[in-house]
Amino acid sequence: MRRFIFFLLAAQLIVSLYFITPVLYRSAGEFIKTSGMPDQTRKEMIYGSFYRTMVDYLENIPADENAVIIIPPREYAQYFWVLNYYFLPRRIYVIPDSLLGDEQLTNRLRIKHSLFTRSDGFFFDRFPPPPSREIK
Amino acid sequence: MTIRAVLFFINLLAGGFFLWKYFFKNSLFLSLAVFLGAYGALIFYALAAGMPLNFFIVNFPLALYPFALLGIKSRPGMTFWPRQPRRLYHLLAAAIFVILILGILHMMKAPLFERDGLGIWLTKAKMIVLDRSFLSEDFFNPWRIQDSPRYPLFLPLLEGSFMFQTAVNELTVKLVFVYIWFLNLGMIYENLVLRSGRAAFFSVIALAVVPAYYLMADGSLHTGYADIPISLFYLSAGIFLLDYFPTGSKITLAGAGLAVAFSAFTKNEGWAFGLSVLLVLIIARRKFSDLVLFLAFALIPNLPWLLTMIRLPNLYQEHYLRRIPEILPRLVHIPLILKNAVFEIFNIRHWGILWPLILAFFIFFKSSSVIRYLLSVILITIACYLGTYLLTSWDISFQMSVSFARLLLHVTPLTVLLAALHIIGIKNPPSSRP
Repeated sequence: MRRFIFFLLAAQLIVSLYFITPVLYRSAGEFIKTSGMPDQTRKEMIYGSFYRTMVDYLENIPADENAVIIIPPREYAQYFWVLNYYFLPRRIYVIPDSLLGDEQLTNRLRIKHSLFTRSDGFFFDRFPPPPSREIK
Repeated sequence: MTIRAVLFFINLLAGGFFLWKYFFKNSLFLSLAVFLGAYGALIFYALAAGMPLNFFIVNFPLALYPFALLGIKSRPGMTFWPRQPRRLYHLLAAAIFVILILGILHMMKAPLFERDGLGIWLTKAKMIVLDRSFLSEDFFNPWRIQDSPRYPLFLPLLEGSFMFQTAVNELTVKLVFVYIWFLNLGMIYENLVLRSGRAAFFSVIALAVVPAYYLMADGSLHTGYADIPISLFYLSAGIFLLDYFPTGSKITLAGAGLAVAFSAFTKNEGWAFGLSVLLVLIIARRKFSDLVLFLAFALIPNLPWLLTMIRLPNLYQEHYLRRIPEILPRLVHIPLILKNAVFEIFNIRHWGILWPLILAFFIFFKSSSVIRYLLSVILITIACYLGTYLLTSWDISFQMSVSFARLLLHVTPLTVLLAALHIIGIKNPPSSRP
């Protein structure tokens, strides 16, 4: 019985190692390759052109103006919420399309820029965002 | 920054040493895990009391140094190496070392970028660091926070404390997950090593090479999700209960209650685990006073969080329980849910043959009542998890494909430990009591 257990355990280890060895090997290589890079370069590698474009765009918004990202439905918005705290004191809000026409809300939040909407065909990581529009 | 990061982890170690010395003498890793949970909870209480996050709050374990470091009489060396040393053990220890190093490189190769890790948990942590509180206006503003505002705060507070101590950095914050992974493996090793050196080494290796920990886009070691932290507390509760069932020790039952409280403060699924433990305590006909003690330790630490949660924005994704009245017509989905669950359990790319192997062990070996109780806790927890798919508004197959493997991660370390104990026999359990 003990031999049988070891046989099963060995089978599990072999199957697991078959799947994880290439991943760990690749990761070790990537770790060595990226460990000397500046943080900004590393982030751009990870977050891709989206990150670069967004950073360039958001940094050009004056510090006293806020922006809004319109991307319904809400559950796809996680990637954009993370921008909230990169660009203080500018504030980046994520709101549904329907609220963009709500002047009370946009005035209250001092939103001057809308970045993009899903209706513009933007999809994370695939295409660069369309040109931004200033809210009148 | 490096010195501050080192100080952060020395603080966590000191707190663990403190618990080890005064409460759970035979279990250092268990003490470290319990202190980790207590650290998150105590920081939460401080911030909930209106104190801003500051150096003294983040480094409060400094006050424990004298108590932790002076006069330790336990001898860690006795616990950490098998009683009968063999050459094979050195080889296995070297293998574990290599797997750990490769795992750390895998985790630390890139900044956090996976969806929930970055968008939910780390965003909350950044808000806490930058606002020095979770009571800021932004935290309660539905347009300023992510789509799961009512997710518990253990992980954001832990990440936030680390980033407050060092810097807001999506890469270095992953060291917190390295620490948690180390504790998970350490607890399994420590619990088995005095019973069987071979079982201890092989169990750690078997757990450390499970592909799901490295390959999944959601919930793996490198993703910054809360699934591996919650598995740490499930494992802690399981180890406490392993001691409680045969001995009836109140202090280990209180420890199990605390571990359940920490798991519920890590992810809402922790409540399902707590309910499972309670049901098994009732089935095992434990004393009423024991049930009250368990409930007190599982619930009271989370009361401040539950009171805070009421004030947080309430979004539609988190309304699962409101659909309970609609559950009857949804029962037709049970076959689909079971089919998807079975497919995942046999998903060789995620698990190898781990789950069929463990099932075979439990079927072909006679188990003790303690193991059966713990196994029941796991099965009831999984049943609760599967039950939530009856209430989802998403496509069931889609949601199970992205989430069920993560839910299995919650119980994986505890199941591996039980399987090992099941095979070697649960004789002379090393007590967690003082």
